[in-house]
Amino acid sequence: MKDEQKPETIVAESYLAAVEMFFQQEWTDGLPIVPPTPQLVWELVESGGRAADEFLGELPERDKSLAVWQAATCAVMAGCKAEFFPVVLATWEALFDPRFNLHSMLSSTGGSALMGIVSGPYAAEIGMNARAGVFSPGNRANATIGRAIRLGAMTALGATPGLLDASSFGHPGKFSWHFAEDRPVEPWIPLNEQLGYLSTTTTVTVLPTEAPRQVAQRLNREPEGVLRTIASCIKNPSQNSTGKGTYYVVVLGPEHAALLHDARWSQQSVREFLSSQSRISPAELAKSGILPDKAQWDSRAPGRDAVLTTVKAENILVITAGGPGAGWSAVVPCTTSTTNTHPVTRPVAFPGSATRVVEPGPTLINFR
Amino acid sequence: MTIEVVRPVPMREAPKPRSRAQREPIPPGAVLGLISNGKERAWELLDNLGNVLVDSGLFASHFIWQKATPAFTVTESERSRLLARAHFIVTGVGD
Repeated sequence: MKDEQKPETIVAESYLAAVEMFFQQEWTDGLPIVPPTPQLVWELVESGGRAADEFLGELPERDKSLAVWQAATCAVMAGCKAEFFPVVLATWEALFDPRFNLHSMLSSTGGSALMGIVSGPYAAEIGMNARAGVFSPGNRANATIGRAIRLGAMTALGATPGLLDASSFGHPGKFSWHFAEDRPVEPWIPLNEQLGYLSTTTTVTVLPTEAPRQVAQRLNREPEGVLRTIASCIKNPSQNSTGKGTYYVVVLGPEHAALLHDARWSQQSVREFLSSQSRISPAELAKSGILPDKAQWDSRAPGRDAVLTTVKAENILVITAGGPGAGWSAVVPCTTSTTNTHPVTRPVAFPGSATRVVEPGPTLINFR
Repeated sequence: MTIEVVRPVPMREAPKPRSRAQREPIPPGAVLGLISNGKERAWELLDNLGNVLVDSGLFASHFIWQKATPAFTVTESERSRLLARAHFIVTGVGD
Protein backbone atom coordinates (compact mmCIF):
# COMPACT_ATOMS: atom_id res chain seq x y z
CA MET A 1 0.00 0.00 0.00
CA LYS A 2 1.34 3.41 -0.92
CA ASP A 3 2.18 5.68 1.98
CA GLU A 4 -0.39 8.26 0.98
CA GLN A 5 -3.07 5.57 0.96
CA LYS A 6 -2.24 4.08 4.33
CA PRO A 7 -4.65 4.75 7.13
CA GLU A 8 -3.38 6.92 9.92
CA THR A 9 -3.73 6.22 13.61
CA ILE A 10 -4.04 8.29 16.74
CA VAL A 11 -3.24 7.28 20.29
CA ALA A 12 -5.80 8.14 22.95
CA GLU A 13 -5.18 8.05 26.66
CA SER A 14 -7.90 5.48 27.30
CA TYR A 15 -10.82 3.69 25.75
CA LEU A 16 -13.26 6.33 26.96
CA ALA A 17 -10.92 9.10 25.83
CA ALA A 18 -10.99 7.56 22.35
CA VAL A 19 -14.78 7.51 22.39
CA GLU A 20 -14.86 11.18 23.41
CA MET A 21 -12.28 12.09 20.81
CA PHE A 22 -14.52 10.70 18.05
CA PHE A 23 -17.37 12.88 19.35
CA GLN A 24 -15.12 15.92 19.35
CA GLN A 25 -13.92 15.20 15.82
CA GLU A 26 -17.55 14.74 14.70
CA TRP A 27 -16.82 11.22 13.54
CA THR A 28 -20.02 9.80 15.00
CA ASP A 29 -23.72 9.69 14.31
CA GLY A 30 -24.43 11.14 17.72
CA LEU A 31 -23.98 7.79 19.44
CA PRO A 32 -20.77 6.44 20.99
CA ILE A 33 -18.67 4.35 18.65
CA VAL A 34 -16.47 1.32 19.15
CA PRO A 35 -12.89 2.62 18.95
CA PRO A 36 -11.45 1.19 15.71
CA THR A 37 -8.14 -0.32 16.70
CA PRO A 38 -5.84 -1.39 13.85
CA GLN A 39 -6.32 -5.01 14.84
CA LEU A 40 -10.11 -4.82 14.59
CA VAL A 41 -9.96 -2.88 11.34
CA TRP A 42 -7.61 -5.35 9.67
CA GLU A 43 -9.69 -8.25 10.87
CA LEU A 44 -12.65 -6.84 8.99
CA VAL A 45 -10.55 -5.99 5.94
CA GLU A 46 -9.44 -9.61 5.75
CA SER A 47 -13.00 -10.86 6.11
CA GLY A 48 -13.95 -8.91 2.99
CA GLY A 49 -11.19 -10.42 0.90
CA ARG A 50 -10.22 -7.17 -0.79
CA ALA A 51 -7.17 -4.98 -0.61
CA ALA A 52 -7.36 -2.39 2.13
CA ASP A 53 -6.39 0.44 -0.21
CA GLU A 54 -8.84 -0.52 -2.94
CA PHE A 55 -11.31 2.27 -3.65
CA LEU A 56 -14.95 1.28 -3.41
CA GLY A 57 -16.03 4.46 -5.12
CA GLU A 58 -15.75 8.18 -5.35
CA LEU A 59 -18.00 11.21 -5.53
CA PRO A 60 -16.13 13.70 -7.73
CA GLU A 61 -18.85 16.31 -7.17
CA ARG A 62 -17.68 16.64 -3.59
CA ASP A 63 -14.09 15.40 -4.04
CA LYS A 64 -14.64 12.48 -1.71
CA SER A 65 -13.91 8.80 -1.95
CA LEU A 66 -14.10 5.66 0.15
CA ALA A 67 -11.48 2.94 0.44
CA VAL A 68 -11.97 -0.55 1.82
CA TRP A 69 -10.02 0.32 4.99
CA GLN A 70 -12.34 3.29 5.62
CA ALA A 71 -15.39 1.11 5.18
CA ALA A 72 -13.85 -1.37 7.60
CA THR A 73 -13.00 1.38 10.09
CA CYS A 74 -16.57 2.62 10.07
CA ALA A 75 -17.87 -0.92 10.35
CA VAL A 76 -15.79 -1.44 13.50
CA MET A 77 -17.04 1.90 14.83
CA ALA A 78 -20.58 0.73 14.20
CA GLY A 79 -20.05 -2.50 16.13
CA CYS A 80 -19.93 -4.92 13.18
CA LYS A 81 -18.56 -8.40 13.52
CA ALA A 82 -16.12 -9.53 10.85
CA GLU A 83 -18.69 -11.77 9.18
CA PHE A 84 -20.95 -8.76 8.57
CA PHE A 85 -18.35 -6.99 6.45
CA PRO A 86 -19.05 -8.74 3.11
CA VAL A 87 -22.60 -7.37 3.36
CA VAL A 88 -21.19 -3.90 4.09
CA LEU A 89 -18.95 -4.12 1.02
CA ALA A 90 -21.80 -5.26 -1.24
CA THR A 91 -23.85 -2.33 0.04
CA TRP A 92 -21.13 0.17 -0.83
CA GLU A 93 -20.74 -1.35 -4.29
CA ALA A 94 -24.43 -0.85 -4.89
CA LEU A 95 -24.45 2.68 -3.51
CA PHE A 96 -21.60 3.79 -5.75
CA ASP A 97 -23.36 2.54 -8.86
CA PRO A 98 -24.12 5.68 -10.89
CA ARG A 99 -27.76 4.65 -11.21
CA PHE A 100 -28.21 5.16 -7.47
CA ASN A 101 -26.88 8.74 -7.70
CA LEU A 102 -25.29 8.70 -4.24
CA HIS A 103 -24.07 12.31 -4.27
CA SER A 104 -27.59 13.60 -4.74
CA MET A 105 -29.23 11.14 -2.41
CA LEU A 106 -26.83 12.14 0.36
CA SER A 107 -27.40 15.84 -0.26
CA SER A 108 -31.12 16.32 -0.79
CA THR A 109 -33.40 18.20 1.57
CA GLY A 110 -35.59 15.10 1.32
CA GLY A 111 -33.46 13.43 3.97
CA SER A 112 -33.15 9.89 2.58
CA ALA A 113 -32.13 6.88 4.54
CA LEU A 114 -29.88 4.41 2.73
CA MET A 115 -32.10 1.38 3.03
CA GLY A 116 -30.55 -2.03 2.38
CA ILE A 117 -32.65 -5.16 1.80
CA VAL A 118 -30.63 -8.33 2.27
CA SER A 119 -32.08 -11.30 0.44
CA GLY A 120 -30.59 -14.77 0.53
CA PRO A 121 -29.15 -17.40 2.85
CA TYR A 122 -26.23 -15.41 4.24
CA ALA A 123 -28.64 -13.09 6.05
CA ALA A 124 -29.71 -15.89 8.37
CA GLU A 125 -26.13 -17.15 8.71
CA ILE A 126 -25.04 -13.89 10.26
CA GLY A 127 -28.16 -13.61 12.37
CA MET A 128 -30.02 -10.82 10.60
CA ASN A 129 -33.63 -10.26 11.60
CA ALA A 130 -36.43 -10.60 9.09
CA ARG A 131 -39.33 -11.12 11.43
CA ALA A 132 -40.72 -9.61 14.60
CA GLY A 133 -39.43 -6.08 15.01
CA VAL A 134 -37.69 -6.15 11.65
CA PHE A 135 -37.44 -2.34 11.64
CA SER A 136 -36.84 -2.11 15.36
CA PRO A 137 -33.64 -1.88 17.37
CA GLY A 138 -32.28 -5.01 19.03
CA ASN A 139 -30.60 -7.05 16.32
CA ARG A 140 -26.83 -6.58 16.10
CA ALA A 141 -26.43 -7.47 12.42
CA ASN A 142 -29.33 -5.28 11.22
CA ALA A 143 -28.30 -2.35 13.38
CA THR A 144 -24.55 -2.35 12.86
CA ILE A 145 -24.46 -3.04 9.12
CA GLY A 146 -26.74 -0.11 8.40
CA ARG A 147 -24.90 2.04 10.89
CA ALA A 148 -21.57 1.22 9.23
CA ILE A 149 -22.93 2.63 5.99
CA ARG A 150 -24.18 5.86 7.55
CA LEU A 151 -20.93 6.38 9.44
CA GLY A 152 -19.00 5.95 6.20
CA ALA A 153 -21.25 8.46 4.47
CA MET A 154 -20.82 10.98 7.28
CA THR A 155 -17.07 10.65 7.76
CA ALA A 156 -15.56 9.76 4.40
CA LEU A 157 -18.20 11.28 2.12
CA GLY A 158 -18.98 14.43 4.08
CA ALA A 159 -22.69 13.73 4.54
CA THR A 160 -22.97 15.79 7.70
CA PRO A 161 -26.33 17.42 8.49
CA GLY A 162 -26.25 21.13 7.85
CA LEU A 163 -23.27 20.87 5.53
CA LEU A 164 -23.30 18.51 2.56
CA ASP A 165 -26.37 16.74 3.97
CA ALA A 166 -29.09 19.33 3.51
CA SER A 167 -31.88 17.25 5.03
CA SER A 168 -34.70 19.40 6.30
CA PHE A 169 -35.85 16.63 8.62
CA GLY A 170 -34.43 13.25 7.79
CA HIS A 171 -35.76 10.39 9.91
CA PRO A 172 -34.52 7.72 12.34
CA GLY A 173 -33.90 5.29 9.47
CA LYS A 174 -30.86 7.39 8.66
CA PHE A 175 -29.12 5.97 11.72
CA SER A 176 -29.33 2.50 10.26
CA TRP A 177 -31.66 0.64 7.99
CA HIS A 178 -30.57 -2.77 6.85
CA PHE A 179 -32.89 -5.71 7.28
CA ALA A 180 -33.36 -9.21 5.95
CA GLU A 181 -36.20 -10.33 3.78
CA ASP A 182 -38.23 -13.21 5.17
CA ARG A 183 -38.31 -15.92 2.53
CA PRO A 184 -41.87 -16.07 1.17
CA VAL A 185 -43.92 -19.20 0.85
CA GLU A 186 -43.69 -20.83 -2.58
CA PRO A 187 -44.54 -20.22 -5.33
CA TRP A 188 -43.63 -16.69 -4.31
CA ILE A 189 -39.89 -16.13 -4.58
CA PRO A 190 -37.54 -13.86 -2.65
CA LEU A 191 -36.14 -10.64 -4.04
CA ASN A 192 -32.76 -12.11 -5.04
CA GLU A 193 -34.47 -14.65 -7.27
CA GLN A 194 -36.91 -12.05 -8.61
CA LEU A 195 -33.82 -10.16 -9.74
CA GLY A 196 -32.42 -13.22 -11.48
CA TYR A 197 -29.86 -14.40 -8.94
CA LEU A 198 -29.49 -17.97 -7.79
CA SER A 199 -31.23 -18.87 -4.57
CA THR A 200 -27.80 -19.56 -3.08
CA THR A 201 -26.61 -16.00 -3.82
CA THR A 202 -27.25 -13.40 -1.18
CA THR A 203 -27.88 -9.89 -2.47
CA VAL A 204 -28.17 -6.39 -1.08
CA THR A 205 -30.63 -4.01 -2.74
CA VAL A 206 -30.29 -0.35 -1.83
CA LEU A 207 -32.78 2.46 -2.26
CA PRO A 208 -32.94 6.01 -0.87
CA THR A 209 -36.09 6.08 1.21
CA GLU A 210 -38.34 8.04 3.47
CA ALA A 211 -39.49 6.61 6.77
CA PRO A 212 -41.70 3.53 6.66
CA ARG A 213 -45.43 3.86 6.93
CA GLN A 214 -47.14 1.14 8.94
CA VAL A 215 -50.33 -0.02 7.26
CA ALA A 216 -53.05 -1.46 9.49
CA GLN A 217 -55.67 -3.72 7.94
CA ARG A 218 -57.18 -6.12 10.45
CA LEU A 219 -60.75 -6.86 9.43
CA ASN A 220 -60.96 -7.05 5.65
CA ARG A 221 -60.42 -10.62 4.48
CA GLU A 222 -60.62 -9.74 0.81
CA PRO A 223 -57.24 -9.57 -0.93
CA GLU A 224 -58.26 -6.57 -3.01
CA GLY A 225 -59.42 -4.85 0.14
CA VAL A 226 -56.04 -5.31 1.78
CA LEU A 227 -54.26 -4.11 -1.33
CA ARG A 228 -56.49 -1.05 -1.65
CA THR A 229 -55.52 -0.15 1.90
CA ILE A 230 -51.86 -0.45 0.99
CA ALA A 231 -52.44 1.53 -2.21
CA SER A 232 -54.13 4.30 -0.23
CA CYS A 233 -50.90 4.64 1.71
CA ILE A 234 -48.84 4.68 -1.47
CA LYS A 235 -50.91 7.50 -2.97
CA ASN A 236 -51.08 9.63 0.15
CA PRO A 237 -51.14 13.16 -1.31
CA SER A 238 -48.85 14.58 1.33
CA GLN A 239 -45.89 12.43 0.31
CA ASN A 240 -43.21 13.99 -1.82
CA SER A 241 -43.25 11.17 -4.35
CA THR A 242 -46.99 10.80 -4.87
CA GLY A 243 -47.85 11.10 -8.52
CA LYS A 244 -44.26 11.54 -9.62
CA GLY A 245 -43.38 8.10 -10.93
CA THR A 246 -41.21 6.59 -8.25
CA TYR A 247 -40.33 3.38 -6.47
CA TYR A 248 -41.96 1.84 -3.46
CA VAL A 249 -41.05 -1.06 -1.23
CA VAL A 250 -44.13 -2.88 0.03
CA VAL A 251 -43.27 -5.09 2.96
CA LEU A 252 -46.08 -7.55 3.48
CA GLY A 253 -46.47 -8.75 7.02
CA PRO A 254 -47.19 -12.44 7.56
CA GLU A 255 -51.00 -12.16 7.77
CA HIS A 256 -51.37 -10.10 4.60
CA ALA A 257 -48.81 -12.20 2.74
CA ALA A 258 -50.67 -15.39 3.71
CA LEU A 259 -54.03 -13.93 2.66
CA LEU A 260 -52.73 -13.00 -0.78
CA HIS A 261 -50.77 -16.20 -1.19
CA ASP A 262 -53.73 -18.39 -0.23
CA ALA A 263 -55.96 -16.52 -2.67
CA ARG A 264 -53.39 -17.37 -5.34
CA TRP A 265 -52.29 -13.84 -6.07
CA SER A 266 -48.88 -13.79 -7.72
CA GLN A 267 -46.27 -11.21 -6.77
CA GLN A 268 -46.61 -9.63 -10.21
CA SER A 269 -50.39 -9.36 -9.89
CA VAL A 270 -49.90 -7.67 -6.52
CA ARG A 271 -47.50 -5.18 -8.10
CA GLU A 272 -49.83 -4.50 -11.02
CA PHE A 273 -52.85 -3.96 -8.79
CA LEU A 274 -50.98 -1.63 -6.47
CA SER A 275 -49.50 0.31 -9.37
CA SER A 276 -52.90 0.85 -10.99
CA GLN A 277 -54.53 1.74 -7.68
CA SER A 278 -51.83 4.26 -6.84
CA ARG A 279 -52.83 6.62 -9.63
CA ILE A 280 -54.15 9.88 -8.35
CA SER A 281 -55.92 12.72 -10.11
CA PRO A 282 -55.01 16.39 -9.88
CA ALA A 283 -58.44 16.92 -8.31
CA GLU A 284 -57.62 14.47 -5.53
CA LEU A 285 -54.31 16.19 -4.98
CA ALA A 286 -56.03 19.56 -4.88
CA LYS A 287 -58.41 18.35 -2.16
CA SER A 288 -55.36 18.02 0.06
CA GLY A 289 -54.02 21.39 -0.99
CA ILE A 290 -51.42 19.92 -3.30
CA LEU A 291 -50.76 21.98 -6.40
CA PRO A 292 -49.30 19.58 -8.97
CA ASP A 293 -45.74 20.40 -9.83
CA LYS A 294 -43.74 19.70 -12.95
CA ALA A 295 -42.73 16.20 -11.83
CA GLN A 296 -46.35 15.28 -11.31
CA TRP A 297 -47.46 16.73 -14.64
CA ASP A 298 -44.66 14.77 -16.32
CA SER A 299 -46.11 11.60 -14.83
CA ARG A 300 -49.55 11.98 -16.30
CA ALA A 301 -51.00 8.72 -17.47
CA PRO A 302 -51.52 8.97 -21.22
CA GLY A 303 -55.06 9.98 -22.07
CA ARG A 304 -56.15 9.97 -18.45
CA ASP A 305 -56.82 12.58 -15.87
CA ALA A 306 -54.46 10.94 -13.45
CA VAL A 307 -50.83 11.03 -12.56
CA LEU A 308 -48.76 7.98 -11.91
CA THR A 309 -47.22 7.37 -8.54
CA THR A 310 -45.39 4.43 -10.05
CA VAL A 311 -44.53 4.38 -13.74
CA LYS A 312 -44.86 0.63 -13.96
CA ALA A 313 -45.67 -2.29 -11.73
CA GLU A 314 -42.04 -3.36 -11.50
CA ASN A 315 -41.27 -0.11 -9.70
CA ILE A 316 -42.96 -1.64 -6.65
CA LEU A 317 -40.74 -4.08 -4.81
CA VAL A 318 -42.91 -6.61 -3.00
CA ILE A 319 -41.20 -8.49 -0.20
CA THR A 320 -42.26 -10.26 2.97
CA ALA A 321 -40.95 -9.49 6.43
CA GLY A 322 -42.14 -8.54 9.86
CA GLY A 323 -43.66 -10.41 12.76
CA PRO A 324 -47.11 -11.76 13.55
CA GLY A 325 -49.68 -9.30 14.79
CA ALA A 326 -53.18 -8.16 14.05
CA GLY A 327 -52.53 -7.42 10.42
CA TRP A 328 -49.67 -5.06 9.69
CA SER A 329 -47.67 -4.32 6.59
CA ALA A 330 -45.39 -1.47 5.68
CA VAL A 331 -44.97 0.89 2.77
CA VAL A 332 -41.63 2.58 2.18
CA PRO A 333 -41.53 5.36 -0.41
CA CYS A 334 -38.43 6.17 -2.36
CA THR A 335 -37.52 9.76 -1.69
CA THR A 336 -37.56 10.86 -5.30
CA SER A 337 -38.62 9.92 -8.80
CA THR A 338 -37.18 7.41 -11.25
CA THR A 339 -35.57 10.35 -13.05
CA ASN A 340 -33.16 10.77 -10.17
CA THR A 341 -32.40 7.35 -8.73
CA HIS A 342 -32.96 3.62 -9.07
CA PRO A 343 -32.71 0.65 -6.71
CA VAL A 344 -29.39 -1.11 -7.21
CA THR A 345 -28.53 -4.67 -6.27
CA ARG A 346 -25.18 -6.34 -5.71
CA PRO A 347 -24.38 -9.89 -4.67
CA VAL A 348 -22.49 -10.48 -1.45
CA ALA A 349 -19.02 -11.79 -2.32
CA PHE A 350 -16.69 -13.76 -0.09
CA PRO A 351 -12.91 -14.20 0.06
CA GLY A 352 -11.80 -16.88 -2.34
CA SER A 353 -14.90 -16.62 -4.50
CA ALA A 354 -14.18 -17.54 -8.10
CA THR A 355 -15.71 -14.35 -9.37
CA ARG A 356 -16.11 -10.94 -7.77
CA VAL A 357 -19.48 -10.09 -9.26
CA VAL A 358 -21.98 -12.74 -10.17
CA GLU A 359 -24.04 -11.42 -13.00
CA PRO A 360 -27.74 -12.16 -12.61
CA GLY A 361 -29.71 -14.24 -15.05
CA PRO A 362 -32.91 -13.14 -16.72
CA THR A 363 -34.84 -10.99 -14.30
CA LEU A 364 -38.48 -11.16 -13.49
CA ILE A 365 -38.53 -7.51 -12.62
CA ASN A 366 -36.67 -4.70 -14.28
CA PHE A 367 -36.47 -1.54 -12.32
CA ARG A 368 -35.68 0.73 -15.25
CA MET B 1 -4.00 2.44 29.36
CA THR B 2 -3.54 4.04 25.97
CA ILE B 3 -5.33 2.82 22.88
CA GLU B 4 -4.36 3.26 19.25
CA VAL B 5 -7.22 3.87 16.84
CA VAL B 6 -7.55 4.35 13.10
CA ARG B 7 -8.72 7.71 11.81
CA PRO B 8 -11.76 7.24 9.55
CA VAL B 9 -10.69 10.32 7.61
CA PRO B 10 -7.04 10.67 6.66
CA MET B 11 -5.23 13.80 7.78
CA ARG B 12 -4.43 14.63 4.17
CA GLU B 13 -8.16 15.15 3.60
CA ALA B 14 -8.50 17.69 6.36
CA PRO B 15 -10.07 20.90 5.02
CA LYS B 16 -7.42 23.12 3.56
CA PRO B 17 -7.53 26.90 3.74
CA ARG B 18 -8.80 28.30 0.47
CA SER B 19 -8.18 31.72 -0.93
CA ARG B 20 -10.87 33.75 -2.63
CA ALA B 21 -11.03 33.61 -6.41
CA GLN B 22 -9.63 36.56 -8.27
CA ARG B 23 -12.27 39.27 -8.57
CA GLU B 24 -12.60 40.78 -12.03
CA PRO B 25 -14.45 43.99 -12.83
CA ILE B 26 -17.74 43.48 -14.64
CA PRO B 27 -17.14 44.63 -18.22
CA PRO B 28 -19.64 46.81 -20.06
CA GLY B 29 -22.32 44.78 -21.78
CA ALA B 30 -21.76 41.81 -19.52
CA VAL B 31 -24.12 38.87 -19.72
CA LEU B 32 -25.24 37.06 -16.56
CA GLY B 33 -26.10 33.38 -16.65
CA LEU B 34 -28.36 31.89 -13.99
CA ILE B 35 -28.66 28.16 -13.47
CA SER B 36 -32.08 26.93 -12.46
CA ASN B 37 -32.37 23.55 -10.77
CA GLY B 38 -35.81 23.10 -12.27
CA LYS B 39 -37.73 23.21 -9.02
CA GLU B 40 -41.08 24.93 -8.94
CA ARG B 41 -40.77 28.73 -9.16
CA ALA B 42 -36.97 28.63 -9.43
CA TRP B 43 -37.26 30.16 -12.88
CA GLU B 44 -39.52 32.93 -11.59
CA LEU B 45 -37.16 33.69 -8.73
CA LEU B 46 -34.11 33.74 -10.95
CA ASP B 47 -35.81 35.86 -13.59
CA ASN B 48 -36.70 38.44 -10.96
CA LEU B 49 -33.13 38.36 -9.70
CA GLY B 50 -31.77 38.76 -13.19
CA ASN B 51 -34.06 41.69 -13.92
CA VAL B 52 -33.00 43.44 -10.72
CA LEU B 53 -29.33 43.06 -11.61
CA VAL B 54 -29.90 44.24 -15.16
CA ASP B 55 -31.97 47.21 -13.97
CA SER B 56 -29.16 48.10 -11.57
CA GLY B 57 -26.83 48.50 -14.51
CA LEU B 58 -24.42 45.76 -13.47
CA PHE B 59 -25.34 43.58 -16.45
CA ALA B 60 -26.62 44.25 -19.91
CA SER B 61 -28.72 41.10 -20.03
CA HIS B 62 -29.32 37.77 -18.36
CA PHE B 63 -30.42 34.32 -19.35
CA ILE B 64 -31.61 31.34 -17.40
CA TRP B 65 -30.48 27.81 -18.13
CA GLN B 66 -32.41 24.99 -16.52
CA LYS B 67 -30.94 21.65 -15.57
CA ALA B 68 -32.84 18.59 -16.77
CA THR B 69 -33.24 17.50 -13.16
CA PRO B 70 -32.18 18.93 -9.80
CA ALA B 71 -30.56 15.62 -8.90
CA PHE B 72 -27.55 15.78 -11.18
CA THR B 73 -24.73 18.30 -11.32
CA VAL B 74 -23.91 20.36 -14.39
CA THR B 75 -21.70 18.39 -16.77
CA GLU B 76 -18.40 19.65 -18.11
CA SER B 77 -19.85 20.15 -21.59
CA GLU B 78 -22.83 22.05 -20.24
CA ARG B 79 -20.48 24.16 -18.15
CA SER B 80 -18.36 24.98 -21.19
CA ARG B 81 -21.41 25.99 -23.21
CA LEU B 82 -22.65 28.22 -20.42
CA LEU B 83 -19.27 29.89 -19.99
CA ALA B 84 -19.25 30.62 -23.70
CA ARG B 85 -22.51 32.54 -23.34
CA ALA B 86 -21.94 34.55 -20.18
CA HIS B 87 -19.37 36.60 -18.35
CA PHE B 88 -20.65 35.41 -14.96
CA ILE B 89 -22.61 32.33 -13.96
CA VAL B 90 -24.57 32.08 -10.73
CA THR B 91 -25.26 28.63 -9.46
CA GLY B 92 -26.41 27.03 -6.23
CA VAL B 93 -30.07 27.98 -6.33
CA GLY B 94 -31.78 25.33 -4.27
CA ASP B 95 -35.24 24.66 -2.96
